Amino acid sequence: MGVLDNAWMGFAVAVTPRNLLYALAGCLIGTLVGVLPGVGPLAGISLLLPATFGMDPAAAIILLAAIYYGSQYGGSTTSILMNIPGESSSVVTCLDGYRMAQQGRAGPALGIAAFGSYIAGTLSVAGLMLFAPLLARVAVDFGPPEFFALMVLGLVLLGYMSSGSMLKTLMMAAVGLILGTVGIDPITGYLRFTYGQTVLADGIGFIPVAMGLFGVGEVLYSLGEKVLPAVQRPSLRTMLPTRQDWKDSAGPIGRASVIGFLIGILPGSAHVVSTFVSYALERRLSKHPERFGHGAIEGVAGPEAANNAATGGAMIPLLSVGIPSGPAPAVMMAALMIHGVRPGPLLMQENPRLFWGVIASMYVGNLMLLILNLPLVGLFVNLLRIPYPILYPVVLLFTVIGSYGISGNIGDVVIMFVFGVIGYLMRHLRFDAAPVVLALVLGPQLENSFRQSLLMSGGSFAIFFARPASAVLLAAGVALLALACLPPLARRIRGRLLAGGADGA
Amino acid sequence: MRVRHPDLISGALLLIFGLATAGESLRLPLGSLAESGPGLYPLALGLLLAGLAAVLLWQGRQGAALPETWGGRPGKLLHVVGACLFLVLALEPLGFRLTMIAFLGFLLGWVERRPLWLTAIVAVAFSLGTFYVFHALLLTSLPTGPWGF
Repeated sequence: MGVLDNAWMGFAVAVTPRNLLYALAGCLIGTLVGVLPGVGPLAGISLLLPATFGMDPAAAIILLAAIYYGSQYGGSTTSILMNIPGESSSVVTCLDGYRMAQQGRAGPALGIAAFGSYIAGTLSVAGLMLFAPLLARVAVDFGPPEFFALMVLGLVLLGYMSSGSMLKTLMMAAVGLILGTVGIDPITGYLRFTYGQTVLADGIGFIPVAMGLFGVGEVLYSLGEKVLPAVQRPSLRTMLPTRQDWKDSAGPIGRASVIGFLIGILPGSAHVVSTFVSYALERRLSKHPERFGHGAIEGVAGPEAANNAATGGAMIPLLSVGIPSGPAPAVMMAALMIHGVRPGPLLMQENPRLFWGVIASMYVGNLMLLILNLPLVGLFVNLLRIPYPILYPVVLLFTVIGSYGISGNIGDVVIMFVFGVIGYLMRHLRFDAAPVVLALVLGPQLENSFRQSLLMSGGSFAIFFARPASAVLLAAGVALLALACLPPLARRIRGRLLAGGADGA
Repeated sequence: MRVRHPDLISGALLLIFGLATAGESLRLPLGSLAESGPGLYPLALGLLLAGLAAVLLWQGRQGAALPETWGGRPGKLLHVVGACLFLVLALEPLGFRLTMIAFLGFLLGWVERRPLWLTAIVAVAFSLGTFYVFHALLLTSLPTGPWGF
């Protein structure tokens, strides 16, 4: 079957009244969690995960995916109207979006953010449709050494793409991998690091960890924050961009669609990085770079398009290889596995209706978001008027439902609060929480691949270099590590040499 | 409070965690490379983390203090953490609805000093409303308590 036949089959799944309703609910919830500061897509997806247990797998993933990409639409609203990013991927939008709002152009800023998001989101879904099957065909031949090499490369890329220190990112990935070893050893059946606690026998669940680090940690961190500023309320009529706005934004949206899609495939803070890359590129290409930071519409159009395009890119490794590129796709992977569906190269063959149905629903969902978001901005603005002292206790209530609802075990709530305090400390000590969650998800797969590879080779590490795909992936990882480590080392040696020369003189 | 040597603190904590993991792994069978036991992989990870933490400690000697002060409202933070502790202890014995009414009531009425009527409306509406939506409609597992309430 060709791509068009598959797309047709996908739309037949996506446009059933029930699935349309789930996509609509996901888009609304996603926009809501994107709008509210401190409540991200991860919390939204985790919260609704227990509610999807009784659903058909395709409907469940359509709902959760809609929350994921819907949150990218919602994140721009607070950035533009309040100078507070609803999402980390909307930080860059504050730079010019809030300035535009101060100049009385909040409407066009919100409008171009919505249209740019729609165009980029739709283009990235087209890319997902074309590239996911290609990658799945390659990944079908992967054995344990290739999967091990791929996951190692993923973790190195995570460090490389991270906005903070690579050393700290790798350390957090190591912590996540260690946490992933808790519970029953899948090969020998030994209990590891459980200390008699039955809640730990099945391992540390990454949803309580993620909700703790991102949800509770964010609430604790925000307790010391300043009072939120007043919110503007633009009318629908002012939100339609002018012809000049479109002329200025068309190029940035097109370029950001490609950048966001490509960066989205890579593990790590793809959404955040794609917005920074898009902003930097537009500023460099602009004939008037001095306008950036003072209300340039290109500074809103590019980053907002990029973070939505990254969502489509992020679905590629999840659906075609079975490796999530970030915490939110990791929760979707958990949802698939709970429904007895194993994401990976065989997903397209074993569950074509689910695979193509989810992709088709993303086209429909993007259109829904565009139609809904502009008229509903007033409603979301009203939600932003809820004072944070009232909002955060309610956020904590939802995190409890999310963590308890997964297993019905109070131990998961304890784990969530413990990681909430750890997340609070990590925020203050400048550690990124995403690598912990991602490594916790990848950890068991990484260990299995590693030990199975050594079993295949009789204990020889040569197996990782004897197979071409594995060797190329590991070489790429080593090259990236060298690229990250060598320049600071060279600077240090040069500094020492210069200091030595000065002393000698 | 101002953190003067953040990388030294985090480096030391992670070094201890890495070494403790390695030490605990040694209590598990290690096996051989060809047939690795349950302790070999966490041992390697513990040593890797300890090594990276040592590099952070070395780098942290010259690290600058964090620019912002933190723990600006330690009393409020402790109240919220204390409320979370109560929630963990009370959730299953008292059930979701009663625990959440008490939890939200404490945070809104005591910690945030919101008016009694607002505290009561938010605490009761959200506790009962979310229980109904998630437990009754979406069939999410939530504790009901000994009195069925």
